[in-house]
Amino acid sequence: MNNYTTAVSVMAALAFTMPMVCQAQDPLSSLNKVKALAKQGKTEDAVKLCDAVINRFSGKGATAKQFAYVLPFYAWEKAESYFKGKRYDEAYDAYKAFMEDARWKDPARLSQAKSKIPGQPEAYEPFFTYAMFQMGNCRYKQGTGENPDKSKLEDAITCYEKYLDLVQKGKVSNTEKKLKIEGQICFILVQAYILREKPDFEKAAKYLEMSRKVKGRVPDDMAMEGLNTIVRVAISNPDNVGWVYKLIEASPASYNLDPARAGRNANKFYKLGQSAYKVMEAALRSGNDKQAAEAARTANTLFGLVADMAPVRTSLTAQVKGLSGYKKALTDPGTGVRLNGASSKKLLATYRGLEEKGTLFDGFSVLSSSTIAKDIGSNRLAKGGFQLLYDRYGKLALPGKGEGAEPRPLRNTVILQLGALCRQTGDDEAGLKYEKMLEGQDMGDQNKVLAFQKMTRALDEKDWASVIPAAQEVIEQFANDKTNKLYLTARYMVVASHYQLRAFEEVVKTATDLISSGEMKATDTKEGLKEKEAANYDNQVYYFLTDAYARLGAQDAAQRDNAIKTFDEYAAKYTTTDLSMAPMADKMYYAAIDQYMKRSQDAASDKDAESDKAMALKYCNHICATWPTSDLYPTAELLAAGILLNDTDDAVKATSISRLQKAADGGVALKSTSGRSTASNALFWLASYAGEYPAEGESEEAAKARCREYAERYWVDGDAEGDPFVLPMVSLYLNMANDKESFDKAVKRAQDTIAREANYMFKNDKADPELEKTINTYVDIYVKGNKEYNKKTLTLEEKTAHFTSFPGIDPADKYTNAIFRMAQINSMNMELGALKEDKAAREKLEEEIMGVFRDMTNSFKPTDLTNYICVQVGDYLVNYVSKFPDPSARTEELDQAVAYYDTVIERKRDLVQDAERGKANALAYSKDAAKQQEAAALYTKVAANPSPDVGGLALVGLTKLHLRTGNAKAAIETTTKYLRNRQNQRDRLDMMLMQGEAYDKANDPKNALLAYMNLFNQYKGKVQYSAKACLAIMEIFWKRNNPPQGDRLQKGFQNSDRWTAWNTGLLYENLIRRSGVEAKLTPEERDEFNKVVTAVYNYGKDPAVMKEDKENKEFKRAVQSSKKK
Amino acid sequence: MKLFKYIGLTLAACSCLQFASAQQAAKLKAYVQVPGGKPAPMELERGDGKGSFFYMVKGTDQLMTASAASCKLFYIITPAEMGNALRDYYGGETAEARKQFAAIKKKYAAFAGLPGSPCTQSALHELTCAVRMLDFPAVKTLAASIPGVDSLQGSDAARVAAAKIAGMITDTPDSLAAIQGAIDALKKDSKLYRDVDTEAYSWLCYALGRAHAAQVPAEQLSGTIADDKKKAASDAVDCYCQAVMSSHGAQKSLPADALNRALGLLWAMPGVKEAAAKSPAPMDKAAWAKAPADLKDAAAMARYFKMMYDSENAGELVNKIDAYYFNAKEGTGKGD
Repeated sequence: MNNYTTAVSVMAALAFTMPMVCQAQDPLSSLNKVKALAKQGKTEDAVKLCDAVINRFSGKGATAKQFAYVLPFYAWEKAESYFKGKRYDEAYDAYKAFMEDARWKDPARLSQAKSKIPGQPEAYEPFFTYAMFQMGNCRYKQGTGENPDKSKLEDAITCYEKYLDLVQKGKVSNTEKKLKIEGQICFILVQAYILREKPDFEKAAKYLEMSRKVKGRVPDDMAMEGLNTIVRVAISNPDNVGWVYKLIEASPASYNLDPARAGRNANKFYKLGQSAYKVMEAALRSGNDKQAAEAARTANTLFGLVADMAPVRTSLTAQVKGLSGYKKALTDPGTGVRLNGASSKKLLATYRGLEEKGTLFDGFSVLSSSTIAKDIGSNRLAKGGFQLLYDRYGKLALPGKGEGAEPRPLRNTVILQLGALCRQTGDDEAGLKYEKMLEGQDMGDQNKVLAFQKMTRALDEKDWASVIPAAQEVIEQFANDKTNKLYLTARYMVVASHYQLRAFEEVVKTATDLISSGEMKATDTKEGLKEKEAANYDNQVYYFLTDAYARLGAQDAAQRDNAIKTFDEYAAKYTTTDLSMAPMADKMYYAAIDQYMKRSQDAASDKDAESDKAMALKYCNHICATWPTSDLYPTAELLAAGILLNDTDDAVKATSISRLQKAADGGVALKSTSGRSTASNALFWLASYAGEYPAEGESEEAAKARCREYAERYWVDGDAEGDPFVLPMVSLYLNMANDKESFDKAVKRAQDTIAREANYMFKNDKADPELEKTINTYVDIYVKGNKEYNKKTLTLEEKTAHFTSFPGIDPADKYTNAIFRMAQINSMNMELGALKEDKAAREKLEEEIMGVFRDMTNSFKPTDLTNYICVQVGDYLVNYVSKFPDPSARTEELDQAVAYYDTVIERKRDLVQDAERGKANALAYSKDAAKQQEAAALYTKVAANPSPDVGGLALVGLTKLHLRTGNAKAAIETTTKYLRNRQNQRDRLDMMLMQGEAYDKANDPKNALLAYMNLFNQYKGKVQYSAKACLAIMEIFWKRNNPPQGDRLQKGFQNSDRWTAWNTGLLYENLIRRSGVEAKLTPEERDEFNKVVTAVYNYGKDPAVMKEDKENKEFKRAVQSSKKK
Repeated sequence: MKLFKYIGLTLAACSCLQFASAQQAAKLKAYVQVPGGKPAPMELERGDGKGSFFYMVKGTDQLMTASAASCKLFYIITPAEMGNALRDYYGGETAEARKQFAAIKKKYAAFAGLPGSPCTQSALHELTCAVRMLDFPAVKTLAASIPGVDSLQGSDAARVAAAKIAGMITDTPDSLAAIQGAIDALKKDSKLYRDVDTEAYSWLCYALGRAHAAQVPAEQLSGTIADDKKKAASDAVDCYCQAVMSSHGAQKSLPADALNRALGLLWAMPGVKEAAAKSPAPMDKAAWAKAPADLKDAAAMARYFKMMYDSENAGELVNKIDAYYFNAKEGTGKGD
């Protein structure tokens, strides 16, 4: 505390009033001795000497009279000595005694003094009032010095105010008046009021304001000391921090100085501003808005007082230039400012040195101002500040820590911040520019932030491949701080990025590592993850791992077990149903359901499959019961309904209807695209199945009416462009038409929807087989419905006209237009089927069909058509050829088909495997061995795909080729491979037959029988297959004929093969006839059945068989008779 | 010594008329040590506008002249009225100070160009006051007519250069090219550009901000800024923000105006008003997290305005936007 500057300066001025006694007699010269003693700290000696002189010359003698005028100076000097010796109580009393001592006020003595001291007409008179100021100073020292007694400040204030009152009323000496110290007194009062026990900032503000208006300038040093006091006290109690700016704004000219003077205080202002900033920062965090605002303004005000280097430089240079030739100090009476060329030169050199080192206080102020703006939340303002620092303060650096240490440049920090702020304000381009500047720079701890920002940047751009190395960089940076949330976020991002890149094996690796490390957990530190954050990351990682296993499971079924195992681990870890603590729980259960369902499809046994389905249903029920508000709730209801619908028990199946209703309602309630999609699926199933499973007490008719209601609701709640159920729904809706009104309505709906979906596919370059199915249905129903409900038989021209200019279909949409042509051809083919007996009509229609087909192949080149339609046309050609007795002769059509397939294969996009299989089908008909080999190679290639619709079909084609070319062994392998995959269902029975045929051709009757028996025993009701199998079994037994006859005398009696052959057919014949199946046989089935009946008849005529049968019957009767006995 | 001129009787006689008029004009006191002389307080008669001054040899009527640069000591004592004007200037009484500086400039016009000339210094301060009062037409005139402008050095010269650019503010679309061009030209004078102090730099940023903002049609400012004007508006906001930060709390009038203008632009950015209409006021944590960056920045800038400047003087727009402010720092730890 150096406010004593004031007192010293005033006293120095008053010292002129001391008597010029150095050349006088002893009482006079002793005064100098007193001063010297006081200066040497010999207070006691000084006081003794004063007292001695006063006592010695206080008598009434002549000598005493002669020197009477000198004694008041000793009395004053006694007080001064105490003051200089820091004996303030004694000094206070001495000043007071001086003021009150009647002896010194004696007019004669005073007059004597005035006359004896030349040039000082007021002699010691100023001390009478000035003593009051000094008394104030004594108390001020006691209240603010070492071990301060703040209560003393009350008396100090009283003294100062009394003295100020005297000054302002002009009741002081002329000497004091000339000193113009009103401003300084006010300023000391400001500090006294602030430093007292309970600071009184209002009074302080009043005196500060007064200090600006009264006479006398406050010296710079004093102003700065005062400001130090104000800030220190105000900030020590943050509630008062706002007083700083209020006090400064009350007297701005005290601090807002010309550059040369302000430059000297730049460091102080900056440091004080930093103190205020810290209060602001704490207040923002604690939510104390008022305090934050006051501290911010205080800090801003203080930073505003920091002088700019450029004007300081200019001002000091001018001073140096003007004053350099003059060594002494000068005072500018216009401003009261003291000028010193040498001092200015030194300061200029100092500032240039600081500038060289990057210590630029204005730069620091801009930096701090920017930080304040950022803390308040304005990235734009902060960016403005950092942009300024980047543009104008390239050398800005913090002083080195310790003497001689190198400065710490702030350039990279500025660039780092500027880059981040550019991004936060939407200027990614600039952000990237600045970030790139820092690449390869050693930024110390900032490298961690940089690494994290690099990761965030890649993340923002969804550049997952770049996220991974960036995240690994973060992981390395935080290798010694593994609980830090940035580290854990980076670890999470590695897994998430691999997942996004569909690198599922890497997901498994990294997620497993992360889970097993046990690092993903909350810690009770500000740098660590909070409980929910950790749970969120951990849940996501479990989900990624489960899903990765699931996706790998598409190729390797064993991975599904890992997916389920991961789920089990998750379910054991997160037993809570609170989605805020286990945010992926519903999704994890859903993932488990999916895996159980998929695993059930290729389970080793029916039992295993049922077990998996039961688990899936259990978890569906869990989701439905636990998370009825989850987005997955309607889907879970839907899946449950699907499982129930596949049950063999009708009663169980019936329960699916209510689940479907919940799925539909839940889907609609979600009001989302996915919710509507779920509702679409549920409503389609409801429209399809509700009629089959009437509610209790509901008639079949009412149930069917409900189906129609669901269909109608579908168009309100489920219909959506591109939805997978919309086209099947069109077909269903068309099939529901049962009168003219419903037919017209369905046709209109079908036309609108087909056009919409076709255009959707056309615009998105998509293909959906469902469109063709729907168009086929439409064509069929349209032709039939017109006939039935409108009594109108459409001519070929009318049909062609309708299908070639279908309402709403873009003429450029060759895909859909081609489908219509195909549909028309299919429809005509169906008509052809009905003309079995009318040969002439058949030939005419066949000609028309070929005409339409040729027109179509002429209108649409393979390159014009989408892959799907190319495959369709190719398939049509191959199917067409297959109907001829010798398909290999139809080389033109087969080559044409190959051209369509090749178009798809060459495009290397979608449906390539379908085209390869189709091409193989076409080549397989050839008798050319090379083409057959090519076909086999294509089939084999496609067969590697386990999908039943791809690989399964290829295996079927390959088997047929093997059988056709006599390669029975290979046919056995392909059928075995097909049948082993439980997903292959479509051609399963054909393949079982072909397997039997293959074994038979391989001369392996035992396995041939097993293959046929397998089919025969399981599918007797499917007469088209069972009859063929039965006949084959009969023929093998007949042909094998081993044993040729049964011998009942031998142990292990066995009937003869031929009797077995005959008896197998007979039992089958009886079963079909007696079960009533015979009445329902289709013509094709009847043909096959009759073959069995004929064989039974023929074999039964064989004498050996007849004899053995007779013996068997006799034996049976004998056994029964013996039992009765 | 070479510049020191002794004016003999002949010359003195020739300058009689000048002497007579100088006697009627104001004089200045200075501490001077002319070449060959001793340092002493001296009364200056007038300057020659080129760095030299005239004085009477003490006790004679002999008029002498000397170059200030040649003097070992040359310091013009601040005239009392200049002291008062500076007191008001540094005390923030800008309008009052400006009037006084104008008067001083006129009164001591004969001393223009001398080092520390009250005339030249007053002209410079008057110019600064005009910028602080956002009186840009006056700035243009004042910046072009600083008496003794060539004598200004360092940051004083740079301040005049910056003020000339601020004087180019016209709020017309073509002002952008002119102002940008002038700033680019200033940058080419690397020494002058280096000496631009932070307040003067804030004038450059502010002028550029006004020029960018002039690219946005007025009706869009009161409504919604079209997509093709978003960049201009954003550039203007950035310039205004640089102007605010460049002042680092030293000045208030121009930064406050810049902030107000930036707020107006941000508020007119597409989607900001709409997002505000859907947000609670004040926003909560969730609303703040979802709010567009421009809305959040506008709210924070409005709060900044009320914190740093007298909140009772905040306009309707500031109060309206401030209502949405959310203190995102609350509850965070240090370093968050």
